[in-house]
Amino acid sequence: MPSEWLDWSFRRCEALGFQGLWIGEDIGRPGEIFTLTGLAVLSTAGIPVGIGLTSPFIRNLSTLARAAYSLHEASKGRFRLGLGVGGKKDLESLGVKVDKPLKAMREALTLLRSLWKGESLTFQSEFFQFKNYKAKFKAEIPVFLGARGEKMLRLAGEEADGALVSGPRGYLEKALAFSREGLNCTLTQPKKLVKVAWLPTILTTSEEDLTLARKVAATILLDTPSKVFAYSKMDLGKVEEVKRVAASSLREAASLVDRETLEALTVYGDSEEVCSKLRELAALGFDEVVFGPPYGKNWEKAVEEVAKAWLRK
Amino acid sequence: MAEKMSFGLAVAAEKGFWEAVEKAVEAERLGLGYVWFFDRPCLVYPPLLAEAAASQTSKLKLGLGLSPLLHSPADIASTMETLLKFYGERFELCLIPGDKVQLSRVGVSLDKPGEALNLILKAREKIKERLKAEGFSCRVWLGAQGPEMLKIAGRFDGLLLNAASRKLVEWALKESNLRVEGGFQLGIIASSYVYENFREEVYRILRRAAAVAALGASKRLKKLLGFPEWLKQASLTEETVEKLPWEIVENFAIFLEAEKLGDYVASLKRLGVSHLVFSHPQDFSKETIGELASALKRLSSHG
Repeated sequence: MPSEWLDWSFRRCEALGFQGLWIGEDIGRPGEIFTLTGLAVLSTAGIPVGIGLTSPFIRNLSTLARAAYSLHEASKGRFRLGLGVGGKKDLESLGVKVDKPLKAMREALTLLRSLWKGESLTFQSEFFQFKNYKAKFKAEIPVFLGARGEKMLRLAGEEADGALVSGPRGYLEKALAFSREGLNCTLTQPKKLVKVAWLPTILTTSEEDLTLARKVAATILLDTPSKVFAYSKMDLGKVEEVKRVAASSLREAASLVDRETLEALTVYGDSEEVCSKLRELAALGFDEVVFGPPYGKNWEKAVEEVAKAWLRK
Repeated sequence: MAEKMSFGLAVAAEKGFWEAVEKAVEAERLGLGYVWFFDRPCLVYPPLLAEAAASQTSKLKLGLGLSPLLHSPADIASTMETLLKFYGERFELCLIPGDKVQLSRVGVSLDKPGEALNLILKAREKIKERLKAEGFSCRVWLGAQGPEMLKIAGRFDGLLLNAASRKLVEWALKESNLRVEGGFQLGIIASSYVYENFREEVYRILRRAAAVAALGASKRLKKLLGFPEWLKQASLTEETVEKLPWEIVENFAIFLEAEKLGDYVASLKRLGVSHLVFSHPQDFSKETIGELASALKRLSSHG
């Protein structure tokens, strides 16, 4: 997103009635996630601000721990850290390969919590190395896991404070069930898991917006494991066909995305429809629903209209 | 001889995030031109300190000392871009190798000779290139003390030398074959305590900081400064700090009564030093910052 848009949205979001902000990291693209989130924190006064998401495998974990602590302090406790493994291609562009994402993510979570407790740490694994390291700060920072697959959702339930859930609409109920299973496995005292639904949202006011929505849907199809679709009520033959085409031409694949697929993978429509669909998501059992990018060709208008429509109800 | 000297304060967030930001705000209020935040693997994340300080100040220049061994050049460039874009062109960057021991604690080891040197040079190139492409102007300093690192200083916009004495500055200039001319700036940074009302507690911190710098010095530097045998192999203990001879301390720490600051600054100017950064424990409290600021004000009023 252009910087002017970020500045505008950070400054306006509270006045528009949004109750939280999530800032995503685009690996390899301009816009450093911590300073951008810092801008959001310093531009808002009372709402939670989160990173949704960053990968713990693309920088030294001590840097992530320090940056998260600094954002926690800068926001006076409003910060939430969202962690995700990262897209395969994005990770590869940085020379990172995560063969056992579940194990590595569990390690990252445990180490971060330990660092924030001010414990002295010695640890050696494929991704993380510490030797008598001790941070000079302490904090309790809520960690959210970006999860789509069954095992990661269980891990979120078991270890994290929240889950940022995405995927086909027909899959979301199943996803909530997986996270609940993890929650039931937790060995510590009973805790609450904040469940956040995050589907791409597009305010469609023109044919251009619909084209954008289709392109987004094709991208999701390409990135989502087939297993996830098996749990949804989508036509698997159609899914595989779009995926096959998307691998060579996203534009062509977008033209194959029909209304049903669009409905399953995105939240789209006019402002009233978008709000109604977001409410349907909340009714599934989510604590928060995200009005997330790409919004539509006219971002400012989309954000303002949806915010107004949401408050009208 | 440097025509003009600019002054900065290095703030360490030893006592928390907002206290460090408040010190930066105080520094601007008291007329200091620069505040620097340096990377330490166990403390808060400097770019966010600089960002919060920028949001609370208007003219203060903010320096960021970051180690490319801890952050990728792309992340550093991106950080600088974000800061410059949203808070204006008042940020400067200093690339530092970082403390070997501290880095090894977070899994960063430099086994091959020249590895850090190459990484820093490559980082400089990438960062400069990207900032230029985005149309940003940002001075990139090299933070250095050792002879190897000094050799590449000429490739940067300035050298921020970790030193306090004339002797060390002269030695560094010789080692690096540097000519302070054109846009190149020579700066020094050192643990400092410039005072009006002496406080024993701050002086003790200063001695400890000087000991850390002295013990981390290269073999060549230790020889040049005539380190006694016991000190060459010593580790950082209370006893070492206590026994450290003053002739060694004064090379790594600025310890001056406020009224003597003028002579010290003039002697550095004659060597071509144009930027002077007073580091921890000068930032100990708003009072110690205030005493420095008063001394600097007197300097400027005397021309």
